Amino acid sequence: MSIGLKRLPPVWKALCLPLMLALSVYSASIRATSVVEVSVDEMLRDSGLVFEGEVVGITVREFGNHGIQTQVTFEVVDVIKGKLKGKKITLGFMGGVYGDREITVSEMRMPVMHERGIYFVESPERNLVHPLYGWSQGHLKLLRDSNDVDRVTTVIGDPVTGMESTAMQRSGKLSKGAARGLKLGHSRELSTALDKHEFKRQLRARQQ
Amino acid sequence: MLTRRISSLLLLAISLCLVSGQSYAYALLESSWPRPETHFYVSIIHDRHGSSSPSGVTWNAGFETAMALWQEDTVFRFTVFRNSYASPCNNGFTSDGKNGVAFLDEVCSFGFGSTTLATTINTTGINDPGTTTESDIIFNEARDWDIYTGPQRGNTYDFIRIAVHELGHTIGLDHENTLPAIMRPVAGNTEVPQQDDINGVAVLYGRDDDGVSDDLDNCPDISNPGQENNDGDAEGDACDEDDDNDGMPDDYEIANGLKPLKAADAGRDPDGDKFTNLEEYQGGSDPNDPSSVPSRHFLPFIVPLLLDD
Repeated sequence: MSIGLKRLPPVWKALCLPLMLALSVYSASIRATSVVEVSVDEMLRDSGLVFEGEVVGITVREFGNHGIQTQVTFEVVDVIKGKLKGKKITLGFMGGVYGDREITVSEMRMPVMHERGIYFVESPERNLVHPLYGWSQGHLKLLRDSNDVDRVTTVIGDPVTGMESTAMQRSGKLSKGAARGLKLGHSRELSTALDKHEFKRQLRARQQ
Repeated sequence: MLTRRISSLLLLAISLCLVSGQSYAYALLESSWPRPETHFYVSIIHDRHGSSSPSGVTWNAGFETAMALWQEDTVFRFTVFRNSYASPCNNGFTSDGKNGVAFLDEVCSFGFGSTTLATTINTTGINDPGTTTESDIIFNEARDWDIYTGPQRGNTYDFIRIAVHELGHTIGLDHENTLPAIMRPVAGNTEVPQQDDINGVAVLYGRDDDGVSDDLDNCPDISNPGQENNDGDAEGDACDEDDDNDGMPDDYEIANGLKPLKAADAGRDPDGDKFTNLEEYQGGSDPNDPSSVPSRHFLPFIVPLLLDD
């Protein structure tokens, strides 16, 4: 007969819901775990390939000794760093569903079908647990705003509003999901994010 | 009057929202163990350091410490098979049912890459997707490891801290980034599971170890695996003071020879004094003594509107 938080009466729930929504705007967080935090400059320097692309295919295969790898194929729109033969590249992510088994790697966020983004590939040749540099740090998405402008966000949709210079050396901290040096917006307002052309221009300028 | 009531409700709702918002900061993976228990085969050797960390503490002891930290404040239990090695990559890290932990230079045919310190790989059966069947933890041997307390030491990582974090994934917790938590993906001075982590485990497995998760448990603090609930209300019989919801507490009914699981006796008048058992209870009189009747000044219970669920 007591009232618990999980059993709020309807009138309270009605009041609670919009407040919870308002308060939870910032509660979503980027995931990355025992992955080292890196700077944008390190990521740019050490990635073998950086490109803008769109996911056009996803398949799952058995890999190695009964391991599972999800292969994500991208149509490459623009190469920002590195060289690529052809217009497509396939990257393998450890884990997935194959046959009667599912293997899940903690904090793995794979690109999804038709996702568009800017991807920092650590090594196009090697099979890594996660092919993107610093996991979520090397995984930026492009979202189109109401004016049909493609804007850059983190993998969970936080707007990337700018880039700043940081020390190249690692801090020893673990990743929070976004590379050090990326400035993130304080709200989810997409219009505050850099448009993809400006973002790519800044990346190219940093390579020189 | 109405305005004051609405204002009060709004304030109360804001308070509850804030409190309940904090309660749910943890994040859960899509699968967990059928019971709050699993095991690890613990025989950890580092290629360069051997069985002991640079500080002298063995990796095995460090890993057992990490498991014990989860066991201190949650119902989850780890069984340790000491000095017995189970490869995390055995049979493609699936099917053997043995949870392994090791320092390796790759993750079972996959490279770590330059930024990965450790990873946890959970396996689930496709026919029972919510149930974890195996969990393996692999630490990147190429990184610098030690066992220490206190602030992070540059690029040398505390094995226990990372182990506690990875074991959280084994248990079924995901990352969260809003409250202090060992599952917060930020290296720092958090060394042990925090209240938010503990809350997350409680939701997965309950606080009372009865096999029912807290969000479904009708008595989250009392073990009642059967979830018996005579009156079908929100509280199970094990924690419900009034199992038939007739307005008379079970203790009162038992003390007066009434039936705590039958609501119908609330309207009966066994002593023939024209007052029902419920009225006698509310009025503080003896339901079995015709000379004992409720006080003339008895006021019926006024159940506040707000508490009427």
